[in-house]
Amino acid sequence: MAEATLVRAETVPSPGGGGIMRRLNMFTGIIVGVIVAVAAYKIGQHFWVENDQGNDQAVIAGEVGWVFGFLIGVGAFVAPVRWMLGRDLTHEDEMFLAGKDQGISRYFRFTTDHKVVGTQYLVLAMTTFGVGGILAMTIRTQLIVPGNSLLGGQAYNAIVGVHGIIMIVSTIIMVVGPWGNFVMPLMIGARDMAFPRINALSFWTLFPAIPIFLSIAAFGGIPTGWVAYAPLSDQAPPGIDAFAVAIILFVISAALASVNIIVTAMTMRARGMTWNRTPIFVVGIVASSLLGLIALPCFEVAMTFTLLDRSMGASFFVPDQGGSQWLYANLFWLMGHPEVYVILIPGLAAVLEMAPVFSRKPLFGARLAVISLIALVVLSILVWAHHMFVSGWAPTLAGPFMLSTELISIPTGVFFLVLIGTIWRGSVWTRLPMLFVYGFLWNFMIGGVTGIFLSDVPADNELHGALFVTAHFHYTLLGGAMIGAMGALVYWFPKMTGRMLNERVGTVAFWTVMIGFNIAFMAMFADGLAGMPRRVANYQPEFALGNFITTIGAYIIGIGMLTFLYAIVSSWRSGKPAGPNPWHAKTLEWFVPSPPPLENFEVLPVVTGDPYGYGEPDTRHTTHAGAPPLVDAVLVPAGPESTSEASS
Amino acid sequence: MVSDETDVLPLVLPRPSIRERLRTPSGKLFVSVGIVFLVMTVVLLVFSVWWPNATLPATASDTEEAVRLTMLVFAISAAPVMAVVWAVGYFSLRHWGHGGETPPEDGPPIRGNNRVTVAWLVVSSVLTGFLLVWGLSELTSTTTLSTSSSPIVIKVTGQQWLWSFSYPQNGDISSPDLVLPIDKPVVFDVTSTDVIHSFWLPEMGIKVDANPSVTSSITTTPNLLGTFNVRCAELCGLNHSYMETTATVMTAADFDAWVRSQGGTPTTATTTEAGNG
Amino acid sequence: MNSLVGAVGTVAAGAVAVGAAALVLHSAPTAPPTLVATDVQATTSTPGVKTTASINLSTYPDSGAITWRRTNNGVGPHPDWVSYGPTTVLQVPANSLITVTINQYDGGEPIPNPFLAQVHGTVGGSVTIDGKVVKSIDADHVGHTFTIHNFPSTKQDPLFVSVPLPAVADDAPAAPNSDYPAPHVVTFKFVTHGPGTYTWNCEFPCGENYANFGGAMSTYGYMAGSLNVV
Repeated sequence: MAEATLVRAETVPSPGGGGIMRRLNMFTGIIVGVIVAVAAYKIGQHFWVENDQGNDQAVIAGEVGWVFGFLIGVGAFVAPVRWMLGRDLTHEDEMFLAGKDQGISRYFRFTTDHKVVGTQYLVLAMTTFGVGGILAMTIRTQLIVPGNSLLGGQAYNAIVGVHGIIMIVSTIIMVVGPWGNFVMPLMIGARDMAFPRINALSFWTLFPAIPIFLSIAAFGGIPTGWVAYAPLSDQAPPGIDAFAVAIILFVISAALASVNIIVTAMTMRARGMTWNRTPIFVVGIVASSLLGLIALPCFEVAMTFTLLDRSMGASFFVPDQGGSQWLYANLFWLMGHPEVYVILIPGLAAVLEMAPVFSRKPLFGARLAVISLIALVVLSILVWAHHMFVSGWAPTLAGPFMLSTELISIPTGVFFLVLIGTIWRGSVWTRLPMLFVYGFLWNFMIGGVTGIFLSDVPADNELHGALFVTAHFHYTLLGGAMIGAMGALVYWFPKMTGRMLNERVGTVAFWTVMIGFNIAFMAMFADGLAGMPRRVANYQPEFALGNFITTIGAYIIGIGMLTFLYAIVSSWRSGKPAGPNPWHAKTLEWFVPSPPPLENFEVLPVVTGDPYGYGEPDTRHTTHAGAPPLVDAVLVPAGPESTSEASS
Repeated sequence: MVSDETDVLPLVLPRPSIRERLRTPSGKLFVSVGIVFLVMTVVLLVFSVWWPNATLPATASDTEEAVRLTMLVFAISAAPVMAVVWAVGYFSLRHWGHGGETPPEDGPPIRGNNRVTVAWLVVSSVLTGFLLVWGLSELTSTTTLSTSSSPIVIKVTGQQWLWSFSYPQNGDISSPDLVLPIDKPVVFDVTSTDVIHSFWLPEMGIKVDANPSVTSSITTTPNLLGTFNVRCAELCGLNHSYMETTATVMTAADFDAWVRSQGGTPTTATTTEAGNG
Repeated sequence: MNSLVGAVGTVAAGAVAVGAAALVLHSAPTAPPTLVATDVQATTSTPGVKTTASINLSTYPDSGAITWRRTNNGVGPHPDWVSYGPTTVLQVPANSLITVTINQYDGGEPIPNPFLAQVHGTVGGSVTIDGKVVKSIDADHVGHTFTIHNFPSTKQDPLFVSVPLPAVADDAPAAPNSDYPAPHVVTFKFVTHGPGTYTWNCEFPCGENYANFGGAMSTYGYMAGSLNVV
């Protein structure tokens, strides 16, 4: 079927030509990218190989060449070039760009439809999680017994760093990428994002970053972990150049996506959708994008300085030449702490979105939740130095940063109130997404409480740099944010694919992941308390039991995740067809068919209330024409009444 | 605890006896959740007292004693909060949960409850304030030297991938492992010749980064005889995993003997000379 | 049933992927060959020492002399990196008095940490350099060090040895029939106890990039290796 429509699309006569645009795709991008990369690398080697800095410059040139070659080859610049030549895109061209009638091939092109971009992000995130997961399993296999010689120090340090950064990137995009793009415009009643081409560009800028991350292995690895601390990064092999280029690329991609999401949510909400009537998920996505837009560029700056240090003899981070390692640490954590909230908030917002649907109750304290989201955004910018309590930098600031860090537990605690207030006396519909809400409540509670230990400076002096920290942030990011994201995937899977996720397999996967996760990271807490440092390839016999248990738990997580992957893949191919609204929810995305057609809505919906009016027969979120206005009250038909109500 | 004003029995008004109120459906609900809450609190309290004790290393300094106390206090403060959330979660799943293809009938449209919200905010703010005050006072006490006894100063140098220690008060002798006299305050002046390392004495609860071109100081008083660990807690490259050595705490007399055996001048046993080296 | 087969298949595929990744990472760097100590002879002269053995190493200013790393075109991947030779994986017997002889061909500079210009952990706390017995060398002219790391809290016996190797003068002429000047010959003895695996490396910053600890210093097989006591 896909081929048939593809043929038809290509035979459509296009007035402005545009033949080349129709022939570019991911594969032409890869071909052009590799050609330009090799050429740039050779040029770099030719000019700089005698330099005592080695071939850093050639590596940087090659990686940057790959990016530009790929973007040219994938067709990212076709539209601006056509515009420049005075042959602007025709309507047919725009429709082609949006992926009209192209079947599966539109997922491999520079396609502007927000639903295609969302699906691309989902598949990309699942792929990178797979890579990061394989590395995690390798790390745990190395640590299964003390003195294991599976990996040497270099290989171990490299995979610790690559696992870290791959997982950080994946978790940053895991909700905002797929669901911020796919669901958010539907939720606010828009036909697409505000800047569809920028939307496609943000994905296709991220895509070439993944091979660069993996190329770290080919250039000697990184000895620094994902934090890439200077001055160790000034000493590292050219792998760190690849790392820095990939980070810069990722930050550009995230900035494009964030701006697009913020503008879309600000300006394109349906008529009547005031902020009070906007779903909490949209608020969360906007808050997270805003925070990312503020925080992530600090990482870009830090990486740019690192590249300048390494390739051009600058000394931003070289202490004995007037630089400072604390400059790096500050820049990094100015990104690093807000970034964990960039990861957490979308997962949390998805949980907050699902809790009312499956408790069949309104969101408890919705305004308080919004205020707390804002408080998280503001406070998370002011706590970065708690990562530097033991760094020797500004000991006098320990008190103030202890204050701001502990203050953040108040808005964080509010979300627990909102969640338990929502499920309190609710008619809890125990479908699979709701299980993930409960999983979030369990894991994130532990993650949050252990965070309070780390906010206390004397306790942090004991625990910093130990496995306790590793276990803590896995509880918040994997146990909290990612469990929320997996719930979101189950929740919106029918909307994206038109099919229900296999709940029996999914439930098995949920419990496997939850049990394995708690086994693995509880044992890791114990090892951390007992004094085992992070990121070591080898450890003392006294930590053997804890590490063995952690490794077994990690394997169980791996089994659970793969089971979940199987549930996704098999359900995508042959799951039970879902109607437009399988969860009987009230937000706008459930009022269009599953999967939604191009441009989503035939008639734009009008919003008359917030989407959480469960148990309130008199309130309704929308009077969308063409879909039943109140799904639960099936007796009320869609009709002329809806327009009159909308205008009243 | 969570209540709501649309309840059949609003709690704000003066009512008959508490016994009667507990017999209403709503009252029974609170009793059951309360029981779950209490059980969970007790379990968590037992866990939080037993677990750190079972896993933490030996306590070899006054700093580590303060850290252990802090962890205990924090764990005890956190236990009821965790118990509230988990008790409500467990209870809702157990008592109001339904599966099935179609959703259950909608629950009560409770959109908020100001009293509960205010109570929640007040309790969490008070807890946070308490933890902050506790932390600040503990921070002051663990980072300030008592003026009564003059400390031993030890220079700690981290380099890839080795610790070395020198004793400027004892004739600048140096050692690949750390030797300390018991019950004597020590100031570690920590620096690095290359990248960032982190000087960590797990059993003494102190840690500070070794930065190139900078000296950072940290203090503690060891109070347990024995051999303990010195580790690097900041990834520092190839052999980071092997960057560790031992810290041996010995009596003042033994320490002086050790100093002499290394060719240094002992200052510990005779308190009058101490600290001016 | 179908979903059981599918899920098990997915898990199996994942396990294969992890195994493949681990295998690739395990075999990624070409492992240096093992240099086994020679002249192993039984002895009863010292209590606790059952055998004596000796091992000969060299330090070169480039790795062109290291034969095992040579590929078809005659040189290794980093011919200009400094290197220990003939290899950096050493094997010595347990409970043994080991005599190490190092021919030091490379130049040097001041060492940042004077602690490492001293001799630690050898028999007598001393080292014989070109026939002279010393306990430390001039910290301003250190070429390399040979430093075995203690890993104290493992169950293996503690073993910390650090020996500085003096620098060859920069303007020293090349010896006859050699690409290098005449070496400093450094000899020392240390005693091994029970079996174990130790890490050793050069602690003089002689690599590249920041603090000269990159490149050869941060790559196994050049200035870092392992010592297996068996």
